[in-house]
Amino acid sequence: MKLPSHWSASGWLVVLIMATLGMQYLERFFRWVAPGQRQVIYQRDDFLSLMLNHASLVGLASIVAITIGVGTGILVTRAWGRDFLPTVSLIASVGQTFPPVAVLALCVPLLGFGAGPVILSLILYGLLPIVRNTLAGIGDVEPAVIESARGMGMSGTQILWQVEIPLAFNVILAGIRTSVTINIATAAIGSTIGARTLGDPVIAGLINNNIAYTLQGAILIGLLAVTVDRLFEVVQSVSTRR
Amino acid sequence: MAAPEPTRKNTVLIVLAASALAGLWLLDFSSIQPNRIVPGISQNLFAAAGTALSVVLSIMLAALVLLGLWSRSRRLVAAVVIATAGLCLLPWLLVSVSLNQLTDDQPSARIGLGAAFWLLLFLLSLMLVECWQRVNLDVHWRLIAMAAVIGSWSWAYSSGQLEALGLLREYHSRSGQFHQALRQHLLLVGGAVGCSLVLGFALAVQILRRPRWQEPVLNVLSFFQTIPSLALFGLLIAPLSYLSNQWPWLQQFGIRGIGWAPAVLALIGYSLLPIVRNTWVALSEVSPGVVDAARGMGMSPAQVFIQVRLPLSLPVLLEGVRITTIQAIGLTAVAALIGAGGLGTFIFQGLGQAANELILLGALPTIGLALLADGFLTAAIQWLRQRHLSTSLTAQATAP
Amino acid sequence: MIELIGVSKTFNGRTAVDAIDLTIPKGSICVLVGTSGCGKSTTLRMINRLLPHDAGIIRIDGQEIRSFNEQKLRQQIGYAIQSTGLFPHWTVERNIGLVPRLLRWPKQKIQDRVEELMTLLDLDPAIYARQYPRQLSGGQAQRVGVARALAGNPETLLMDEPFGALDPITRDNLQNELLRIQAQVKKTIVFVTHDIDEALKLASQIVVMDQGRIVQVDHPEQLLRHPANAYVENLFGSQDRGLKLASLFPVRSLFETDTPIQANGLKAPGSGPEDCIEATDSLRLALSKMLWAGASEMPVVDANGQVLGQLTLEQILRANGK
Repeated sequence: MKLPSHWSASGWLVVLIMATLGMQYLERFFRWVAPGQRQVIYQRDDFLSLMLNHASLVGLASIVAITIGVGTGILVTRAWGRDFLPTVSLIASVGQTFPPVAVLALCVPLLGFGAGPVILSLILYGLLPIVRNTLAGIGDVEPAVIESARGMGMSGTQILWQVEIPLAFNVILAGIRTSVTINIATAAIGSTIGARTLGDPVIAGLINNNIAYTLQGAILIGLLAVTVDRLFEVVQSVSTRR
Repeated sequence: MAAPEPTRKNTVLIVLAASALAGLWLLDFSSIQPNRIVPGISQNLFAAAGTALSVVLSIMLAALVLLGLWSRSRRLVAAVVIATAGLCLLPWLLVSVSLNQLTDDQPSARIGLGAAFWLLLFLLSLMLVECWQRVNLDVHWRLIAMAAVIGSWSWAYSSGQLEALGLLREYHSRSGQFHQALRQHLLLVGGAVGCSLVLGFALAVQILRRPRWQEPVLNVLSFFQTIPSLALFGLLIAPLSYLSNQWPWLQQFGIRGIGWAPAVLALIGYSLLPIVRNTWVALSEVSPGVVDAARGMGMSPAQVFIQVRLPLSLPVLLEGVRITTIQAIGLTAVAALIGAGGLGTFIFQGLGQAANELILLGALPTIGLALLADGFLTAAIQWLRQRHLSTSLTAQATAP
Repeated sequence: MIELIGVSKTFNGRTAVDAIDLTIPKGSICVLVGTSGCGKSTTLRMINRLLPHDAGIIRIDGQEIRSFNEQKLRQQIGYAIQSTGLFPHWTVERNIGLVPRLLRWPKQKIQDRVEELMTLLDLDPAIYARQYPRQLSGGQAQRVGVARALAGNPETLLMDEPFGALDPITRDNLQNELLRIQAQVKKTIVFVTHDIDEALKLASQIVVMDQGRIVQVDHPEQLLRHPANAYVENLFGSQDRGLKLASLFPVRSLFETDTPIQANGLKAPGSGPEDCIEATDSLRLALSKMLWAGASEMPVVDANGQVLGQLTLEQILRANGK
């Protein structure tokens, strides 16, 4: 038996919210995990604000990446932008070979520490899967379909919005899902370059040798990633059903 | 006589060359730090490397713009030559910076690389690839171009004038550590990919035999992939340190909450999905006609598997190994946070000390490793495909 | 000789082959025909145990096939299929040598055999031996498929729509090749097809199947003249069976039974291929040539262009209407 995807997504969402708001009620468990620590609940920031900050970093970066990424994908598949197609697709595929953590680290020498470089590197890295999938999605639309659309007198814009984008939608969405998943992970590491994210408790725990902190951060990051992934699953299943 | 080939605009080349030109004029090429602690002074190419070289480079880029405006396949060969020359020139610009800016009384002064340097490197490489794709340059000429660039860089390095680069200073002050970190990195990646290859292959064969397991197994593995690396490392620390506290002899093997144990476990967890999925897809996509014929000719199940299915699925299987290896190289860098060692150590040390060159010392080799692995495995896959060819291609080719 | 006695096969409760009895004499070409899903391929695949039979007995040369080792059995039966099933990662040479290698023949013998077969199938070993299947045309690939099936020198050959994916001209060529080779090697061939013309052309015995049962087993001529029921009649084309029948007999056969009209031994005047009938042409072709020329009689020539006599429309009508 398989649960419908929106049940599983809302289940994870409830767990995520409960864990974010109620971490301190698990103090006894964390005492058992990290015996001998004076303090076992991460106090420097409350989890809710870390969660919101983490999510908004990723959200902001993703919105920009989606806009630029899908836009680029569309531009280079138009007749007048097609010259750029090989170069853009080369950058998108070679770029994905770069480890995200290296891209994050390379932003520091150029831009310094803080949330800014983190957002920039999230955007840069997040672009790649989106561009790649947009190109793949639009490229996979059968030429015969476009040909017949043109034959029936649709304009270029009409073909784009009524034929190409709807047919490529699922592939583009899959690219966005990959991009967001990677960015949630990279943003967590972003706390080493001074962005306030859910990575903070993990790093603090590692530095202070406090397993409880690390565990709290890890649980919340994991829950956030899984919940967002399940939400994408819902969107994808709705869009495939249509 | 044939009419001369008409010229047409190569917009890509124009845009790339013009951006390079603009970057060269507007962005900083390098910075000079009197020592490791004092913040550096940034300079553009004109100030740093002197007028002569800057003008030469500007003329080269302007020529590329012009070639883009009136492009013909013969002229694109010239563009390939200029772009290659540009890449060969880059290290000598740094040599010139070192000769112009540093005096003997500053033994610990160091040169940092600025945005203009990276931009030039990136754009020149792109232009090179763009042009040689358009003129369909023979593979030998590509190799010669690459050899020229590598040769020029090695020559500049062996001249000793690049020693003032911050990156090299950091390398020389910890070359022992660097080599050890590199070894650790490779060991972790190799170990994890090796283990998951064996495990993943067995798992893929199992789900091929029992299709009912296929969905749950792939679901669990893709669930692993969703969990961010930092979280998975963090989640593994607690149970592993509990285990090693319960059974202290485990610690003798290095199995502790932090260190290589959680790193390798997490890496295997991440690596399984691409390997299982690709192996399974590859094995199940072998054309049924081929398998039918193999059985009909009287091959035993083992012969069918080893002589037919396995070789035919090798390219797709290797593609899984490629994805896994690249992913593992990046994740191992993160594993430095939980004390697993590797090149990530320098990245996070550098971040901690705000030492840019140390960050580069970790990040650049990590990227280099990923690119190398990608290039090597992609070449191997293409070679196999050309030799053995995927079944679908052959099925199409033999149909009328 | 292959014998099937009360052989049945069910897939998930659906009967695919229902208690069929069939005897295929040694050295004959037995063609199984029928609409898709009639059980003809299933029957074929049970003979080399690619599908196990659920009930009944299958014997090859008097031996129940279950008494053999599965792989040994298959190595002694040639097998050719529509998609060729050539191994894309092996050269032509290696593909053809597959069964001899499984049979552990010595290297030199394998190589000689491969060359012999390639020559037999009109594939120049110097050109094609080292090529990979993707470099071959559809017809060449299928020749390699047939060569591979013959390689182990099997007494029996199973062919499952081997020429089904080829264009009509290539298919016709390969059918002629098969008949030529069969005249030399005299195998027992079981051949599945849904192409009725192919069946009529190749078969010494046609087995018509419908819904897992055998409806009729007969010589092609008998099938056309006396179809057992409407299904067979329909399958063999009730409208144009006169032409199909005419295609079964070569013109030559008339000259053996009918009184030959005196041969004058002269070359037919102004004879091109359209103005005269060759002795090897079928009656159908002869009829077509006469219709085209608007002539009620035409000279018949042998391979050397020697005129053998005169063929009349009336002779064709008499021969076909028998």
